[in-house]
This record gives sequence, C-alpha cells and structure tokens, in this order.
Amino acid sequence: MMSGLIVALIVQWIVLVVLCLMVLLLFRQVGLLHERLGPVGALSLPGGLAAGEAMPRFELLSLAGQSVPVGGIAADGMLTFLFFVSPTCPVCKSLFPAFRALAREQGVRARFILASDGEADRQRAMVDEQKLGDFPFVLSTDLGRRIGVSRLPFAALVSADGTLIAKGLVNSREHLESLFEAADLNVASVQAYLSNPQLVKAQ
Amino acid sequence: MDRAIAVTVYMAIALLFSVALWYKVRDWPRFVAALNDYRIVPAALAGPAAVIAAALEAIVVVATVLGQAELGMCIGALLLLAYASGMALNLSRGRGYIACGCGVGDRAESRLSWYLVIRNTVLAVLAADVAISPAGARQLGWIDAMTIAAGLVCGVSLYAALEAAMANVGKGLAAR
Repeated sequence: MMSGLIVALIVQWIVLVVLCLMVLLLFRQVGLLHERLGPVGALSLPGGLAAGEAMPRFELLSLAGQSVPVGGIAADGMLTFLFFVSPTCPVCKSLFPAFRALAREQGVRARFILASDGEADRQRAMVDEQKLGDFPFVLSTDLGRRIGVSRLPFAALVSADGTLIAKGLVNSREHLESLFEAADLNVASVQAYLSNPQLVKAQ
Repeated sequence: MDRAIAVTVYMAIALLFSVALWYKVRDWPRFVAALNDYRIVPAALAGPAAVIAAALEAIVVVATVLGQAELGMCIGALLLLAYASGMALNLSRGRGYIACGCGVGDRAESRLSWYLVIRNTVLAVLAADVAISPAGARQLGWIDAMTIAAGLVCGVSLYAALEAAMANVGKGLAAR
C-alpha cells in the first residue's frame, strides 16, 4: 500500500514538472509569435490628435532660449519631426544615435525637435550627456497632451501645412523611420498599412 | 505550515530575490533611474535608497541560506509589500507608464500594472506566512526532498510562464 502511494507520488511529480515546463515553453512561443507577427512600425496609441488632423500652432521656447514654432503652416515648407523623450527613460537613451542618424538623412526636408516636460536642469544634463545640443529642445506638457503622448519614447511627424502625418510609440530605429515611410506612402500608421490589403499587395 | 512546504516557499522566494538582485547589480544605473521615477524619495536620495533596497534583498538571500529563514522571509515580505505599495501609489497617481524596474531580463522594461501589485502581494503573503507560522519540527526525508525539488521546479516555471503570459497581453493589442 505504502510503496504504491510512493510510486504514484513520484509519477505525479514527474508529470507535473514536465507539464509546468511545457506551459512555460508554450507561453514563450506565443510571445515569439506575437513578435514575428507584430508590426514593425511606430505603434499608434489611442488618445490625442489622430493622424490627418490639424495640429494647433504652439509657440514654444527651447532650452537655449530660441523660439520654436510647432504646428500651423511652416513658411519654409519643411516637415516637423517631434521626438518626445525623458532623462529617466532608458529606451530613449538607446534611440538617440538612431535619432541623430535619421536627422542627418532627413535633415533636408524636416526639422527635428526634441520635446519633454519636467525640470529643465535634468533635461539640460541629458542634452549635454547625449550631445543633443544641435536640436531645439522644448519643454511643454501641453504639446505632449495635445498629441496624446502616453508612453516614451514617442515620435510625431507634422506636415508643412500643419497636419499630423503620423505618431506613435517608438522603440527602434525602424519605428523612427516608419514615420517618414508613413509620409511617403501616405498612410497614417503601420496598423492602417497592414489593414489595407491593396497596399500590402503592391509592396 | 508543514516544514516541507515552508522550505519550498522560502527557497523559491530567496531564489527570486537573488535573481532580482543580480539584475539590479548588473544594470545599476537603470535600477536607480527606475526607483527615481517612482517619485517616492527625493531625487538626491534615490541612490542611497537603491543601495538600501539592494542590501535588504541581499540580507533576505543570505539569511535564508544561513538557516535564518524566518528573518529572511520577514524582511522579504516587507520589501515585497513596499514595492507593491510603491507601484499602487504610482498607478493611482496615473503614472503607470514608468518602468517597473522589477522584472527579470526583457521584462525589466515592463510598465507598472495592477497585475504586478497583486503578484507582489501574493508573494508577500506567502513569505509572511513562512515567517510567522511555526515551522513543524518534522524530520525531512527523501520524499520531502523530492517534494521540495519538484515543487521548486514547478513554482519557478509557472512563475516564468505567468510573466511570459502577462508580457504578451500588450502585444496582442498591438498587432490588431
């Protein structure tokens, strides 16, 4: 009787351990699948202005004291690329090199502006540390709220006539570039792109 | 609580703290930044507070390994509750977008959520139970050794599976 119970116990533990490990593997596999199927593009989150809507004009002051107009009609016909960051966001830090590279590539047709809110001193320290002195840096809670920045790093692209072309949460170089893709392809977000079968086929 | 179960629980929690501590030490600036983001201690004190938290975690691990499991679990339960209340406070402030700084590996960047608050509270209750309820003095045999070892493997893999499942929650929405 006792040895029977012990055998049963051992068998059940073995089965249970295998089962638990399989559940773990299964969930990891589901995660991988999500990653493969997921969009490679800035993730548009609900809230704030939608792509295609007109962006109100903001007259902002940069940390260096220059006036930085955002939104409205740009006299020089340039796009405006807004990159929302924070000194306490580790992903932002990892994206600055990609941001600088993008600014070099697209500098002829877009103005690149960094935006944040909070204490100016810590932002200045970040600008120095990350060598971002070339870009106007604005502090405005309103701007972020209007666009609907909910998570950082976040980027938005505004056309010369003041409409929001695309916006979204960005986590990689591809995400940053995807906003310009959106401008070129005339689609608001990668979600819109994926849900339009004609565009996907044309690709 | 039966001794075999108590041993399984405190070993699992000590293991959790040692892994958490390892990830904090490995990327110390990120942990300090995450702690600072909680806006519970003034920015100037974030560094010292991080050292205290890490030291307490180390005490949990060392005390448990040295046979002072009750002490270790007592500190562990308090730490877990402190983390849970820090998260709950920030969630209710509407600052759920900050990094939790609590995860392991890829999850270190995960945002705050009520799931994390519940998870920490459940773990704290388990740790407190071991710390408070008298451990039976039963002599542990080989069957108990099996219970503890298999229980640990099951516990760790289920914990990791739950983490993986929760990490997928946001992604499911993203792909839509």
